[in-house]
Amino acid sequence: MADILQTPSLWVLGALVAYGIAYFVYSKWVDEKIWESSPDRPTPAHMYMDGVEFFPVSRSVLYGFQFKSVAALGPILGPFVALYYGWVPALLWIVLGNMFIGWVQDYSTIMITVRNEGRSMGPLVYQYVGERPRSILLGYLLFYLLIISAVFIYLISLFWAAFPGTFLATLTIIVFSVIIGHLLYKMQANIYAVTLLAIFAVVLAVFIGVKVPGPEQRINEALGKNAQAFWMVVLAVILFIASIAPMPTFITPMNFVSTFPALAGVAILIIGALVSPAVGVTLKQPTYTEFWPKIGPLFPVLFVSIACGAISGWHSLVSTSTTGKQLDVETDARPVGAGAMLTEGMLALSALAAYMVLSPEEIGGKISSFVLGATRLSSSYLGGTAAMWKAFFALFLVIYAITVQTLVTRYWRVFSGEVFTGGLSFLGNKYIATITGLAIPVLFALSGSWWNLWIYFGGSNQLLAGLALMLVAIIIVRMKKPPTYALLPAIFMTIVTISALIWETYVYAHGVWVYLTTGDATVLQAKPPLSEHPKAAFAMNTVFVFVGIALVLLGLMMTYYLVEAFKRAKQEAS
Amino acid sequence: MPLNRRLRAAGRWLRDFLYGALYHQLYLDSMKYAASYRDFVLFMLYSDLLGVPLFSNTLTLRLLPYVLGELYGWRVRAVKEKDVTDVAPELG
Repeated sequence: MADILQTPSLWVLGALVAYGIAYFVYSKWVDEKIWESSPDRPTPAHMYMDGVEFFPVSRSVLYGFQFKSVAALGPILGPFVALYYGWVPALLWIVLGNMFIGWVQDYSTIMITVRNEGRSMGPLVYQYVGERPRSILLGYLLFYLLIISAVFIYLISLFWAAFPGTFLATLTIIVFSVIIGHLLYKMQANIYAVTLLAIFAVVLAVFIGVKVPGPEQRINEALGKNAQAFWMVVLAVILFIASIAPMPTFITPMNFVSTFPALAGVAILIIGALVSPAVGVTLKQPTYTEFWPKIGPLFPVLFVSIACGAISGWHSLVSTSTTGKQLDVETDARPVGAGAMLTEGMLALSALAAYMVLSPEEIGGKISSFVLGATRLSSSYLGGTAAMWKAFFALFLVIYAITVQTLVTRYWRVFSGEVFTGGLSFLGNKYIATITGLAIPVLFALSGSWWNLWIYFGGSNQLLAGLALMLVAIIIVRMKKPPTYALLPAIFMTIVTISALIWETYVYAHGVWVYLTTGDATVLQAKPPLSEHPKAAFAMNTVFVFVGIALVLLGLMMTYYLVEAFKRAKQEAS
Repeated sequence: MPLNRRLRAAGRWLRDFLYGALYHQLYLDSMKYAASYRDFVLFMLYSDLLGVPLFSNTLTLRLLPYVLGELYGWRVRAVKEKDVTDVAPELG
């Protein structure tokens, strides 16, 4: 048995205790003293019950749904970036961020929806802050969707290129998803039979991933450094079809099938981290490296590198658009919102553990090393061959990412239809919107500077969280209650994220400036093949400078309006 | 609480959790999909309830007993102002 201090177990258990305190003490206090939640106050699920959007759901079902909805790739891949500072800063941010900010946002945004007739984020901003801020929020979300698409398209294509066999495994899942969609919606097949078919699809996909890596290997060898670009194009075609096809034929069944490996992978990782002392898996990462490694200073970059798992702005949209409309009683908001977010923190810690058990040489700057770490954690207590676990976790990553990306691409299309009006209404056309929603992110992803784009993604995502918390503070002030528990995290997140966005914009701008003045292309943020074409790399970096400036300006404008609304609320309340 | 009751409660919790994680999204999507068609039919037949006289005749009255239970939900959905953030996907 390994020394427990040298395994991930103790740290995961310690975090569990911290989360327990956050849940049983802090969140209970907020729930009882600030919101004064009552099981007798009717919720929108009862007031507007229509059986479609509004209907009461039991808290354990809603907890499972909320957990599945918020736990995606953010908490799994974020720790990789944060590890550049060592595992202790990453661990502290996951634990403290979630304890004082993460659950606060998820729980409170459910409560603001419940207390405001089931309104989602857009109408709430409109009601409490104003019409222009709502338009700014939508503009901000447009950039956010482009960035998140670029990051995910890059990562999926990277995983396909790095793990031959994974593409065919993914294709297997997609084909079975289409069949399952047909069985469910056209033939009204029994759900148990469909479930068995979904599990069979996953097992078959893993089998194919192990046994048939050959064709993809040959493609990668033939294309060399252009292989990833090729996979990006293949992915864009799949996403285009997913975005255009009716939901029940593609996205809905794929979302369903992908939940099985995702949930299994999460459970395997969490248990693997907890039992690590018994099976001798030890820590190999440095506890702390330096304040200023190559990805940027610890403040503010660390706080945006791990988004979901510590705090994520997107959760506020999920909480207000779906969960808040199905809450049976107000007192369920705590187990559903806070409970699911703190559980997601556990997932982030387990993913961190998967990286912690690898040496710096094994990681070697490759994000795909997660598969290696996860394989080590799982095979140590479940047995099985390394090839099988590698195929499983590679599929786990890709399926998670591709499911999210199909939804993002489709959402971009719906979003474009709403945002682009008047002379720009052609951009909202179903096909044009899908093409632009794929072409721009693919171009971004081709730059290969996913590190920097990840910071943009984390920064914009976390800034959304800061803005949501500010909105919560405004509503609490209007309730004549003390807003400090939401206001302080809001201020912290806003400062940190805007600083991170400014930093990353500076990184791109510095490269552009140096290239312009000296002609040195090595400072540009680009990887092969784009880095071999300095002018193209320069053009992309210039675009990223403008994207960064746009995110910062929109964020600052939104912050200004929220602060003004907060002041107004305080005046009216006093 | 006796042990067997505790175990039963834990089993129920696990079942509900798994349902929520695995099937609830599928259920929601299916309900929205079905509602999109149903709402269209109801709009064609009973749009006069929203002040839009499209197809009011004796046939709609004969169908009324069959759709009475759905009219309230349909009216709420039809008159509610839609916002693009209502359909934010669950991305995590």
